[in-house]
Amino acid sequence: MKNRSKAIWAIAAANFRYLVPAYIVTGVFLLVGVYNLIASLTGLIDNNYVDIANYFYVFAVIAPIIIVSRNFKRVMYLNGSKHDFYFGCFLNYVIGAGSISLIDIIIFLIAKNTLGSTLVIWNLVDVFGWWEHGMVIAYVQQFSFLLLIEIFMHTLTSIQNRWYGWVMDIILAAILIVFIPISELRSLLVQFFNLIIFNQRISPQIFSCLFLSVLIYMLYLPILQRKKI
Amino acid sequence: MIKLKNVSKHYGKSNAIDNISMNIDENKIYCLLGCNGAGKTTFLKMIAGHINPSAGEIEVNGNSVSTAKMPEDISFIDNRAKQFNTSLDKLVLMAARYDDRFDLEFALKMITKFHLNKDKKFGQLSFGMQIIFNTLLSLASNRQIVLLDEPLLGLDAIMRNKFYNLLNDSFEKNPKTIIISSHLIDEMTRSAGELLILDEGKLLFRSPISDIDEKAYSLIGTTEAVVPVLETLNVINVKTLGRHTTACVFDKHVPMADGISVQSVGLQEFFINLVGGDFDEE
Repeated sequence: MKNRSKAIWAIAAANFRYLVPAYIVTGVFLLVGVYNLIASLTGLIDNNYVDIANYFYVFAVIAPIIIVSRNFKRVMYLNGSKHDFYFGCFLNYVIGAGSISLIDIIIFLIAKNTLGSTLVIWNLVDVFGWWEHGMVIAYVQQFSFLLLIEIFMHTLTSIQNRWYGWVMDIILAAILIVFIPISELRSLLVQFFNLIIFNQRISPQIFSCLFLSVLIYMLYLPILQRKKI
Repeated sequence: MIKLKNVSKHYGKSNAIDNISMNIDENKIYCLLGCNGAGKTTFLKMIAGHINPSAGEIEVNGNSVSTAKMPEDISFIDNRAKQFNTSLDKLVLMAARYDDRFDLEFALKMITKFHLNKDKKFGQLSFGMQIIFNTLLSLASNRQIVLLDEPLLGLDAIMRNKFYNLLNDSFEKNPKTIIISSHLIDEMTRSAGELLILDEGKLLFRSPISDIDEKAYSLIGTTEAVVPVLETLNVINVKTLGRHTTACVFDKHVPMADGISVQSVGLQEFFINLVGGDFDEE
């Protein structure tokens, strides 16, 4: 009999290990962030500093693309199962969102305490209004949002080789193109982003992100089951 | 063990597999032969649940097979499969973690036997070595059914010899059903017990290999002498040149009239006769 949990953890570990393109791209963004910090401190640019921590969001966007487009087949070719891949990836995204959120909070805290008096620090935790609720709540709010981003990217990448993937791309593009110019529709879009990001109430923001994450990942199950190798 | 009921697979207008129904028994090595494009890879992929048939049903141990229900009793690794680009010992360790049935000891032994450097990364291996590594991953999986797609591609005679030994070692240690697609027809008789021939998506022929040794032969003689004899025999192919006729037969030996000589037919010659190729073609 298979030891499911061992296989799931092993797949999650492999997914983290073989994300070199995501690590490289995130690294490049971090270097840009370091330049931005040095330039702000030395007066080369104004004192608006985009916090390095923000660039870890890039990892949350790219990692799922690599996991789906590259790692999936490699796991299958080591006789891994789709079931274990499904739960292994979920583990990746929970750990990934948790780690990125933690790193972001720590870096932002350090930046605020060391550079806060000389620079205007722009961190998404602050911009989105989560920091007002305290460090721990901000961590949970950011975690929920990052989890939603990762799972959305994972599922969207998974359907790219199917007709409904293209339909989804068109729908997303249409939402951006049609909804933004028309004020009534734009307000719908604003309401949605207010719900999952700029929500002044903590619980609806967290639960809407977690609910959407679970819902999208449940929708991913039949997609994975139909996936050819 | 494996049941195919009226299975077809279409890609657009072309039929890769055309209405195949058959049973595959357990603990036997099958050799799957067919020309390029005969449907061998599609056949194996459907049994493994890597792709769905367009029509029909496949069952493995009584359970229906599809991409949603990939049988856990089957190991099929595409011979061109790209693995994670890490050292071979790490790859076999990963495979062992993904499935407790994986025989790590056997895999490491085979890595040594095939002179694969376990510290080398998968991407640094030659094409032939990559195929061998993928094959040994399948054989070490300890699953009831192992499907190998052209595992001998790109291997020299020495490596092929080692492959047959690997196959026999694996089968002796843990008897299982192995289906191997190959173009190296005569060599496969060393390991395979049964022959399956696909042609244009159809199952053209199926027989134990030992039967082919016994029943496949050719009759050579004058047309007047050979043609009447063929009426009662299972004739695979007939060629007439001038007044002489050569017929490839798959049937019991019968007493022959004077003027007809009987020659044994090798597996390769039998296959070429069966799929309609001209043996004398350049």
